[in-house]
Amino acid sequence: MELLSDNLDVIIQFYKNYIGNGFVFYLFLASLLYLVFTEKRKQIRTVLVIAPITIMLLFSFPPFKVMFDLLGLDSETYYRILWLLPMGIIIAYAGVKLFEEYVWVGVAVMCVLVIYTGTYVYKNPNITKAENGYHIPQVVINVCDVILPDEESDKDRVWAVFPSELIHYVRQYSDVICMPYGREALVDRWEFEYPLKDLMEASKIQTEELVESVRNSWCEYVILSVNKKFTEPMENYDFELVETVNGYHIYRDAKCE
Amino acid sequence: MLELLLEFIQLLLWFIIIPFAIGCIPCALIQKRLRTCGMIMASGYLAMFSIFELLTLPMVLLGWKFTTAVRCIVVVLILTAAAGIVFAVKAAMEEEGILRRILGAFGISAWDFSEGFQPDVQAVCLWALFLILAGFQLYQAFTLAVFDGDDAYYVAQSVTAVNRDSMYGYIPYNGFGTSLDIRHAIAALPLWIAFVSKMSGIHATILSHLILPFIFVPLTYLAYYLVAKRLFSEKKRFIPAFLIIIGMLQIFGNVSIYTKETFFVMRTWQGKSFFANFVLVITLALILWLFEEETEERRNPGLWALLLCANITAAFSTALGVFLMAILIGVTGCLLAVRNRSVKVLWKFVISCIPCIVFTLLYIGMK
Repeated sequence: MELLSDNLDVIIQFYKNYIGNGFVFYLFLASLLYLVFTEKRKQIRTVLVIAPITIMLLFSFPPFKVMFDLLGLDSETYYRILWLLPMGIIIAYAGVKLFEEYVWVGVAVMCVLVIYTGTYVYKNPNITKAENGYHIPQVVINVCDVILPDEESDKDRVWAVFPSELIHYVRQYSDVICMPYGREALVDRWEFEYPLKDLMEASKIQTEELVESVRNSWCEYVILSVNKKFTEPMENYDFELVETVNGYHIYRDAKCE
Repeated sequence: MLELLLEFIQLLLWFIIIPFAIGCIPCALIQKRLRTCGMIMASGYLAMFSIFELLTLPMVLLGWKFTTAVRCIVVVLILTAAAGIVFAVKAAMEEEGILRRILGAFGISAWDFSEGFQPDVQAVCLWALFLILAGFQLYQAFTLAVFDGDDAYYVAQSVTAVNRDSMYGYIPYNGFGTSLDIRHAIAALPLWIAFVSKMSGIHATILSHLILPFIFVPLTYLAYYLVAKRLFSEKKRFIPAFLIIIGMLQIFGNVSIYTKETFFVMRTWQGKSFFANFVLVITLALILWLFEEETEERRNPGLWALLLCANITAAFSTALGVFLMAILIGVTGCLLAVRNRSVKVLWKFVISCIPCIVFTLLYIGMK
């Protein structure tokens, strides 16, 4: 019983997270209700009215969530069952149906409602102006180009350690560059422990410890922001500054062959 | 310049010509009035992705090299497309007159020219408005870059497949070698991107972020168009109004990070987004077309075949897709079977779900 109650709480939380401010979801519910009373074509009624209601009930039914988990599916992705609700189709269909006689008015009213209740996706902080065709920050390309081996070189891999803000993009640009840790180290809930990452992200770099950890990870290059402070210069440990690119120092381990 | 032209020709081949030609095969089995160029293109993508999935999955499990897989896939897809062209020619020969035959081959025979061209000004304006909206989305996709953490896996996976000649043999996050991860291996979309990248010579990241939105965004609207065509079968002038509202919901649908509208804009090239925005919508379109009020008794084996392909394409997009498709088709199929008082209908839905069952068992068994 407790398990079901816990799962119900989880389901409610999924609903809350999914619908955000909730207005678009209420618009969907209103549209669904409108279709319940007005849609006379039996097949469309079954697919666009009865089926979504059934799926919503199924989603809200705690034993169904328990079954989802028992199947070994990722519990965090349970909310994706809500994708099966054709919200857009139902809102648009109900909107056009409601204003059948005055379609322009209908389009205008629905657009205003959607603008008013929705959130403009292009204002999302994760969307920025593209700097190149790869749609990754140019600084990543510039840094990678410095450490990538020459065409004549027989090296097919270069090991380098990057600061967190660049990690996501490095291997989208080139798979030749390998890293002791990648994105998996940045997602807290995955709980991977990387001492090297902690050393890299420290406000003041403990140079000796960092150098030791970098060498244990077979890394040839270390990329660090110019704003980082060090207990000792990297050069004291045979790391040479190759270049400074867009605010990042690129150090190379001279002892690395 | 020549290199650019060759890249463009390869993209044209793998994004337009091959899927369109392959689409002629299932479309040969559907009613002529439904055999439009839009339907052929949507069918082509479903069939092509299904073939790709069925070919690559065993190759991945057997640990084949990517180059070997690419060679096999090229041969099979080109042969299938050639067969599709034969079907298209056969369909065209049903028409009278050269012009109608040529149009018929491209699925344009369903248009009725006998009444002459009578533009509905209101509909034309609404279509123009919709095209502006879709154009705006494409412009934004071209000029704006999106940060999404999952790209470090999916996009890097495509890049790695091309350059390391390996299918899921490396952890894309860091480059270490790894054993097979079945959850990701079922979903072959990153390998398809790698395949097109290999054929065209365009970097997989450029292909994903810059070029794929120009394929997946129109394809999504095509799926919505097919839904609208069924919903407004008697009042076609409402179709663009429907699409405008859909477009606005896509642009203003970022109410949370979980909605499929958010995925549509921010992860267009990822399998999850493709599944939520194309596969699910086209599945609804197919179900709606299968159960038209006035044509309940007619047979439509092509649409059932396409439903089967949609299930395989769900696996191609994302491993969870097979489970979600099973729910959608299970619920809708049961309700339609009850509504139409037909056990036969239920069996047809069950058969279309076989790929879901097989992939789910594979997923659970090999995890």
